[in-house]
Amino acid sequence: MQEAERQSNPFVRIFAFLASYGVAAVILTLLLILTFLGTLEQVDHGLFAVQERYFNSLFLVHIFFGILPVPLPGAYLLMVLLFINLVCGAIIRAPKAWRRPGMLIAHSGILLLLLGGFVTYRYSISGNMRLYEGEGSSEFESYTGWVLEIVLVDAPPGADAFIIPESDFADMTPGETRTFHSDQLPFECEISGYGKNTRIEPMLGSHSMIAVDGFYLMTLPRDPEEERNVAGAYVTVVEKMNGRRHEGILWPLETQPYTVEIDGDYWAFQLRRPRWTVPFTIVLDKFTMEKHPGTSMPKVFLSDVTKFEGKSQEQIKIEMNEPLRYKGYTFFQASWGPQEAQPGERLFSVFAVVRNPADKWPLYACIVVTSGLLIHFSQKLLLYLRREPRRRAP
Amino acid sequence: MKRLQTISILAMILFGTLRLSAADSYTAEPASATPAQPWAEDVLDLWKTIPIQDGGRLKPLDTFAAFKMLKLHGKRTMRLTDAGTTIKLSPIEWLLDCLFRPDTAVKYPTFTVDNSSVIVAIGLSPHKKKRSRYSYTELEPGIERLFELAGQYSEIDVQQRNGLQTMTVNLASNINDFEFLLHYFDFARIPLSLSATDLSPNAGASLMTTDALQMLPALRKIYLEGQSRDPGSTSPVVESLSQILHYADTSIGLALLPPPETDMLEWRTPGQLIRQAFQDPLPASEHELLQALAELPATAEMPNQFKEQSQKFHGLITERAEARSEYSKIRLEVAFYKGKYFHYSLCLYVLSFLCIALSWLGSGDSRGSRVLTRATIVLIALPLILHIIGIVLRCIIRGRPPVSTLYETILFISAIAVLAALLMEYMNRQRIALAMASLLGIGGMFLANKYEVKEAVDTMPSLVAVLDTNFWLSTHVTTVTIGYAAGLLAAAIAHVYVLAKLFGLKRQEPEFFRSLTRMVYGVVCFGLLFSFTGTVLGGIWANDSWGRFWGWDPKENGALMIVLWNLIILHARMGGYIRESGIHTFAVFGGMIVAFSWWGVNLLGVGLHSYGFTSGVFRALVIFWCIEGGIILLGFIAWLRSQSAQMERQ
Repeated sequence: MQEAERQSNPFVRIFAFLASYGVAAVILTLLLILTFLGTLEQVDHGLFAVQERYFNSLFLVHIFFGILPVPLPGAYLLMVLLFINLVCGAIIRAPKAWRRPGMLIAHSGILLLLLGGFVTYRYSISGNMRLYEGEGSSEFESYTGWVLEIVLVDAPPGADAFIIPESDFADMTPGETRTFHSDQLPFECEISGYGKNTRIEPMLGSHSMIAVDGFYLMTLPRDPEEERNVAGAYVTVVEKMNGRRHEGILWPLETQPYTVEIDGDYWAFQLRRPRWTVPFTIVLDKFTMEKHPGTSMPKVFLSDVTKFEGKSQEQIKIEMNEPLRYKGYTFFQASWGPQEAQPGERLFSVFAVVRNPADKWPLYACIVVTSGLLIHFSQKLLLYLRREPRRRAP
Repeated sequence: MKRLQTISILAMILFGTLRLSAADSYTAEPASATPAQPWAEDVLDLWKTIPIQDGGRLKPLDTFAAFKMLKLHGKRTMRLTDAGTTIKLSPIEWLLDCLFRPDTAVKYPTFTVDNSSVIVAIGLSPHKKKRSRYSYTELEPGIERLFELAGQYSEIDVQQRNGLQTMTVNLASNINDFEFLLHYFDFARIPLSLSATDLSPNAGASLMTTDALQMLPALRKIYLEGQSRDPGSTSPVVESLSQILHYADTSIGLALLPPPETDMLEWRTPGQLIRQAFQDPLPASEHELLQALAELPATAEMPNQFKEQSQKFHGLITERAEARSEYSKIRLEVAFYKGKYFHYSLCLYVLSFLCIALSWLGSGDSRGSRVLTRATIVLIALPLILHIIGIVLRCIIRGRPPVSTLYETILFISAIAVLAALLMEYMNRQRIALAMASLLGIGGMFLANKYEVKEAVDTMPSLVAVLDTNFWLSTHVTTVTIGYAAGLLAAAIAHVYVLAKLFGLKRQEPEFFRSLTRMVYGVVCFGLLFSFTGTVLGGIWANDSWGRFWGWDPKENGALMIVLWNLIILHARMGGYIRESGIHTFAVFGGMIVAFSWWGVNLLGVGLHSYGFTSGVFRALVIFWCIEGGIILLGFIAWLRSQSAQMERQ
C-alpha cells in the first residue's frame, strides 16, 4: 500500500525519472551524437564557432546533409542534466553498501569532473603574455574579445583607464548608435557600426556607408579562427561643454589609437583585447629553441624567466609540458618568434596564461573515478572467477 | 628525412640550378637490369652498422637504406633478372650499388609507378602493366618534364592535389632522392679540370676535390692573379673551383660525418665539409674523415681493398660516434630489423588460427581437438612473445615508452588485445577468445606491415617538442590505447555471437551465448576503465602543455566517444534496455567508434593532434565501417528472428 502511495506521488515519480538509467542512457547518447557532429563540423567551421554552438550552448539546430534541420540540446545543457541524473541516480538512490563502494566512488568522481568543467567554464580566465628577451610584464591579454579603452594621454602612472566591455556594444543592430557617458569624463561617447571582423578601406566612388576622413569600415565574413577576427566600430566623441562632435574609426590594428583633444587634454580611444594583471612580474631572460639536428622539427622550447615579487626574485625555466604554477596562475610555453629570426636576433616568447580555480580538479577526479572503477570491476572479476568453474562443471 | 624532403622541394623549385647537370648524369646504354657483382657479406655487415644522421636521429645505414628503398621501390627487396636467373637485392646492397656503381644502379627497376598515366604525362611510353617499376635510365628522357610538372603541382595544397598530381610530385621527389645517392661520391670519383701538374710539376696527373681543399689558399692566389691579368677569364682553376662548389651542393645525400665537438649536434655531409673548407681550412681530423670516405669509390671493384677501406672508414666513424655516446644502439637496431619479429609473428599467428580452425572440426572433448587446442595456445604464445620482444626492443632503441607514433599504436593495441584475449581464454576455456587472439594478432601485424609500407618513412622518428615527455607517453597514451584494444576485442567477440546466431550455430547451447555476453561485458568494463583513465590523463597532459584540460579537439572527442559508448552499453544494460543481442550489436558499433577515434579523426585534417596524420586510409576505413554496419544489420536480423521464434513458441 505504502509503495503504491509512493508511486502515485508526482515528486517521487519525477525523482525516479530523473534518477533512471533510461535518462542516463539518453543523455549519454545525445552527448555522443553531439561530440561526433561537433568533431565533423570543425572541418568547415573551425574550433571556436563549433565550441560555442555545440558544446557551450543550451540548444542548437544541426543541419543534417545540408538540408535537414534537427534541433538538439547543447552539451552545456546535457552536462547539467547529467549532473542532476548522477546526483539523483548514482548518489541519492544508489544502494550504499560499504562492501561495494566502487560505483559510489566512481560516480562521485564524475560529479567532481563535471563540477570542475563548470567552474572552469564560468570562472577561469585565459590569455597570453608576449615578451621579448629582456622585457617584463605583469599583464596578460585575452586571445579573443575586445574592450574599448579610453585613457588620458600623459596621465600619471597608475591612473585608471575607462573600459567599455565588448558585451556593452556587441549586440547593437546595424544602424543603431549607443551612447556611453561617465561623470568623470568631459565627453560622451557614441558607438555605431560595430563589426566582428572588419577592415579599413578607402572610400572610392559613392558608398552609402559612413565615412571618416575618406575611409570606411568594411565588414568581412567572420573567420572560423576566432583569433583572426579584427573588430571595428565608428566612434563619435561629443564634448559635454559645447556639443562639439569628433568622429573617428576604432580599429585594433591601427598603429596609433584615435585621439581627441578636449580642453587641452588629449584622450586616446582604442579597441584592444581584454587584459588582466597578475600580482607579480615575469621577465624573459632568454628564449631557446632547439631543433632536432638536420631537421626543421622543434625539439625544445625553453624560456628562462625571472619572477619578481616585491623584493624577492626567482629564476625559473618554463618549457613545453613544464609550466610555471604560482598564486593560482599558470604560465605555459605557447609560442615564440620571430619565426624567420636570424642567429643572434632578439627573440620573443609567448606564454599562455591561465587562472583556473579548478586547475587540479580533473586530476583528483581521475584518481577518484579510476579507484572507484578499479574497486568495482575487481570485485566483479573475482565474483566471475569464483562462478566460472562452477558453470563449466558438467 | 625531413631535411631530405626540404632539399627535394628546394631542388624542385630551383630546378636547373640545383639539379645535377646533364654532363654528370649516369646515362648508360638502355639495357636490361644487370645485377652487379655481389658485395661480400662481411662488407655488407660493416656498412649496415655505419651510423647516419637522418630525420633528426642517429640510425644504422641499414635502416636508412631499407626505408629509402621502401619509399622508392615500394618493397624492401629488389628482384633482378639476369639470364633467366632471379637475384634479390637487399636494401644495403642496393644502396651500395647506388653509391659505388651508379652506372649499374641506374638500370635497376628502382621506381614504382602506381599509375602509368604519370609516365604518359611526362612524354614516355609506359610498360604494359598500369602499375610497374621503372629504371632511372628509362625515366631519364622525361625527367625534365617531370620536374616541370612537379614544380607546378607542388604549389597546390597537398589536400587539394588529385591522384596524378600527387604521384607526379612523389615520383619527382623519389628521382631527386635517387640522384643524391648516385652523385654522392662525385666529389671523390671525378677528377677536377685542373691537373696536379698545373700546380706542381712533380705531382701526380689528376687532382681530386679532397686534395684541392688543402690547396685552397694556393688556388685562390692563382685565381686572383688570373683575374687581375684578365678579369672574367675562365681557366682550369676557375672551372675547378666551380666544380668543387658544385659538389658542395650535390654530395649532401648522407650525413655520415660526425662533428668533432660534442656540443655540435648536426652530423655533416661531404658537401658541408667542402663548403666549410672554403671559409676556414679543414682541421686535419676532418680532412682525414673526408679522405677516408673519398678513397672508397676507387676501391669499389677490388673486394679486398674495398673491405679494408670500409673498415677504416667504419672505424673512424664509430670511434667518434662512440666518443659522442651516439653509437650504443646502432647495432641493436640492425639486430632488431634483422630479427623480423613482426614478420615471423604474423606467420605464427596465421598458423595458430589454422590450428584452432582445425580443432573446431572435432568435438571439444575429442583427444585430437584437445591436442590441437594446446598446440594453438603454444602457437599463439610464441608470436605474442616475438611481438612483445619487438615492442620492447623498439622501446630500448628509442628510449621511449611503447607508443609514441601511429605505427606503434598498431603494434601495442594488437599485443594488448591478444594478451587480453588469452587471459580471457584462461578464465573461461571456450576456445573463442583463443580464436580472437589469433585473428587480432593477424589483423594487427598485417595492418602494421601495410601501414609501414604505405607510409615508407622511418617508424622511429624524432618527436615534436610537445610529445617529448616519457611520463605522459607512458601514462596517457598507453592507457588510452589499451582502451582502444578493449573496444576492438569486445567487437571481435561480438562478431562471433552475431554470426553464430545468424547461422543458427550452437542453438542447443544457451550457455555458449551467455558466456560470450559475459566476455563482452567484462571487456567493456575493462575498456571503460582504461578509456576513461586514459582520456582524463590526456586532458591533464593538455592542461600541463597547452593550459586547458579539455578543448573539444577531434582526437579528444574521439576518445570521449569511446568512453561515452562504453557508458551507454553499461547503463542501457543496467536499465534493461539491451540484453544479450543488444550488448553484442552495441559492442560491434563500439569497434566502429574505436576506428573513428583511432584513424578517422586523423583524416579530418584539423586539430592539435596532427602528428598522427596519415593519408589514404579513408577508403580502408569506409570499407571497415560498411562491413561492420552490415554485421550490426545482421545482428538485428538475428534478433528479430529469435524474437519471432520466441513468440511462436509462446
